Amino acid sequence: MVFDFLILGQIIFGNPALWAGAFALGVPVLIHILTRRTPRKLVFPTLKFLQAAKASQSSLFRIRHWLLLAVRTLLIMLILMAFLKPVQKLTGALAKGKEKNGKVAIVLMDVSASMGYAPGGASSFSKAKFASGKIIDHLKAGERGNLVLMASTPRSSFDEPGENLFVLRKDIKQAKVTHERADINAAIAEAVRQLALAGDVAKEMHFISDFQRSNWSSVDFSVIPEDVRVLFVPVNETGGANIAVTEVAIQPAAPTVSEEVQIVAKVANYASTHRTLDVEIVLQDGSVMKETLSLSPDTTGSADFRFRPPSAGDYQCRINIPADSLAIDDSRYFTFRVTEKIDVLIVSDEDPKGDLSSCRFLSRAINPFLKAARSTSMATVIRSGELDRVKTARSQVVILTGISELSKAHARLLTEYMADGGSVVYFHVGGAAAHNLSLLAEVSKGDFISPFKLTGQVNHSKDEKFASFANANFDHPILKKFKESAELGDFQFYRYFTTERVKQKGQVLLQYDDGNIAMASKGIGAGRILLCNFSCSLDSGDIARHTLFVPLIHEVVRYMRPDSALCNSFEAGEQCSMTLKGVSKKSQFEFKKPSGKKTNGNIEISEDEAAVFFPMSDECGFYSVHVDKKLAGSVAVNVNSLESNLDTLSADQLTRLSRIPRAQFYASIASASALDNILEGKHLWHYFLIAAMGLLALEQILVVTLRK
Amino acid sequence: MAFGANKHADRKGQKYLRPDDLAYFKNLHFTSRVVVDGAYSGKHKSPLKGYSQEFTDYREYTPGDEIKTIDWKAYGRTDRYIIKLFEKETVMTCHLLLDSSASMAFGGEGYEKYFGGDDISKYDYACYFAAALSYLTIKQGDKVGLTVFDSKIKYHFPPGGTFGHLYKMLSILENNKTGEQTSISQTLRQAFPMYKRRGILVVISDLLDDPDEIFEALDLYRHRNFEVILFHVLHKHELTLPDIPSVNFIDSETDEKLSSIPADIRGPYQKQLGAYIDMLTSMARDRRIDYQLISTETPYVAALQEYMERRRA
Repeated sequence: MVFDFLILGQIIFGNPALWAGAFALGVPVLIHILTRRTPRKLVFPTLKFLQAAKASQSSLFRIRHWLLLAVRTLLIMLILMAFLKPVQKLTGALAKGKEKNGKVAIVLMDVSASMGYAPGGASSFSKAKFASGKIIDHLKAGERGNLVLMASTPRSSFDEPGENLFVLRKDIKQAKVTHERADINAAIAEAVRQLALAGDVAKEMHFISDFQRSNWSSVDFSVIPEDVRVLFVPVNETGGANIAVTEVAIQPAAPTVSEEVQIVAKVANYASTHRTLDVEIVLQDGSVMKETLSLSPDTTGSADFRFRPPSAGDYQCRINIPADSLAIDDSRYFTFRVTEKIDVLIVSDEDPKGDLSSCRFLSRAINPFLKAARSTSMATVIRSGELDRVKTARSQVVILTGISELSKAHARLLTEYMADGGSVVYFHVGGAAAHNLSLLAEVSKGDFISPFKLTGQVNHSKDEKFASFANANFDHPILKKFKESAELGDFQFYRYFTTERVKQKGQVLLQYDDGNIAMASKGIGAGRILLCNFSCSLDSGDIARHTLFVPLIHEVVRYMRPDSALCNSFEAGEQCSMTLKGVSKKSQFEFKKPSGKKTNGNIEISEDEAAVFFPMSDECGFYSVHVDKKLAGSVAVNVNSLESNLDTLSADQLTRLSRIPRAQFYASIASASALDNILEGKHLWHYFLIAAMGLLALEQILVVTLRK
Repeated sequence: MAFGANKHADRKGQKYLRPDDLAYFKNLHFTSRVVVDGAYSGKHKSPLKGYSQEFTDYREYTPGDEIKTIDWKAYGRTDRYIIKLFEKETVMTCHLLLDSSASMAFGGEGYEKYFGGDDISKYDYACYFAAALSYLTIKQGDKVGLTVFDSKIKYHFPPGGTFGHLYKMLSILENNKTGEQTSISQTLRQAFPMYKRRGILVVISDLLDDPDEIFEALDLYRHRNFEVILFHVLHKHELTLPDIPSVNFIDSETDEKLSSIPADIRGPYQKQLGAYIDMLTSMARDRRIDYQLISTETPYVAALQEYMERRRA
């Protein structure tokens, strides 16, 4: 895992000026010479016993003065070596000795939400800050550096690497873990740009991150030039045991008042052990519902909560699980709008007041009551030229009937609407249908392929013939309720298209007695389209005359209305937006962060609606807009659920994925000694100090032993 | 007692016999443990029968015997001429052999810079000892002779019993210069024919010679029933080595040199010297020779008193 090579290399000294201290080596010799006793001549009776005594002494004893001198000199030498700060250059170390033309090092520190993981002691982020500081500390005078914080957008301390390391240290100290997901590719691109400005110097990139598999496995390292040495410093090598609320879905997607709402919270257990935990939902009124979940290792569970919204409006809710080592994903915020009725948008280029126009019958079928308050659905009729994003966004179903040829922009808008979960019902009779279907297929870039091709037109209006539904798929939710009724076959259709089935595309619901397809559905992205090969106008058939028409249209709307949707929330670090109704340009607007602090916001006011944009969301929670000091709406911001999976890439995997040449690839754990070793070499001073202490002990032992 | 205080006597012969010290010898008596030969009557037992108060035996009269030796009471009882024999008492002869070799010059004058002014050389110490013994011997009416030697006999004084004889000997000791190598065994063999009468042989030396040869030579004396006393005189710094940081030792007799730090070799040195002394003690004990180790640190009077008391016991 760790590339901490221990092959003996050259030794350099951090304090070469202290070589002057080599004179100290002469001190023991000098003391030895100065304290050397000049022998005094003494005529002694006989040397017989002295010679015998001397001969009986060990050779070690006889040379003990030289031995002690050697030990003491060596002791001084070892102390001197320790003060010289010797560093052993390791073969696998990043440092190559003194760089000829200087060095530029870019420290890319991950500040994404997952870096807040703190299993007990130090968090991954605090380790990252330590490692970053250590790397900056290893830059020598004259060498340049820069700090790039890897968040949703990279943030650099300097526009280009600078020598002011003080600022870098300060920025590292003040850096905070964000709630965002890091855009690694953008950070690398920024670092590469800065290194390109550095000129002919040694270049280094230091990645300090938890190397989350979900984020780093797709990073493009090929943009890093080959002459850049790259160091990977993982701060969370073992991954982490984390539980997170990853998703909240609501059913129906746009509930109406008093309708039962089901909220499904997905909770993921990324730990390797079985967990049982309480999941709670905190509703807007402060009421709390709880459910206990039992999760096996590496599985996801769902907690269901049901309630009936008492009134229309925007609801702010929060799902909570017990706190764990990564706190940011223990809550998930979401909003949903409860409407009084189901909004249906009818797009038609027919005369809305015309007696035979299909939009009139459809509109009346959707809202059979004259008074709007009694209805459960509400249709709004517009012309195809009036189609825009705001109108589609607030509608749960868009019905196209009697439209002329769509423009490319409108076709793209519709496909995007469907891809985002919207539903479109297309009653097509007339020459524009073929064009519109092919245009939708074209702008969807392959997402939409019609379940049938239009091969020609049938017009029985003059020959008094007609076609009826012959085959129906009563298992389909739209038709399920009409299984027992024979009336469905009584419908008469005079104008429709001959069709050719496109195999394995979509689902056919109804067929005419001549074999042509009358109704088919097809999914597009998160949404769907229902193609009706007939029209509701009286000149195309008599469907509008039948009593079954109204329930059929209601079943179509009910089915096509998105039954379930992920709750509306934005990802931290992104721009987020919302719409408001009933605001005027004269109103006072105030934008607030989840923490209650004011933030920047933009508002674009149209006729009866306003689009609100928060340029940057850096906190999880509810970003709110206040109109005339009253809460007018809010938008939920959550951490990217991928941040919750703390599974990491090992250095070996990074080697393979990055495809950085082996000579340029380095990895080190985030400990001080490992970083010192790889950045500068292996520090040896403490070994010399230990050896000096050992020699001191030996010297004392020699002194005591030889004195006996 | 400071030796240096009176070491330069202003009268010839009084350097080694100081009046102050004489009082210490008043109660000392130096007697022989064996019978001795003597031409004169004295306090000591003679192997010859003579005239004295001590009866020893009877024998038949033979012509030539003095008439006055006949025991007339025995003749009255037995009608035989019986002669009464008495033990002969004679004077003791003490032969002093004093070593004046170069090694005996260790200490005292010439060594003040090492050992201080109060130090005394082995030779001076031996002379004090010899003078005291001589004085004791003459004072109790016995005779004392002196032989001064180094590699050979330098001076020889036949035994004499007068104080004039004593002072002549002391005068010689004062004037004698230490100098050459020691050869105790050779000297003992040379001196052996010079000692006519058996008595006490006192050898005062540092005994730096081959111990086997020394004792072989002493065996000659033992066979003639000499009582042999060995006074082994060693300087206090010879026993312990001086406290000098570093010394270039020069052998006093061979001029050999050896550089060393006394502190470093003190232990092994004392071990070696102790072994040598133990060997001498053992060899002397085997031959029933009195062996007495004397350090110059011990005042000679105290050493002499201690020896006399031990001898009396």
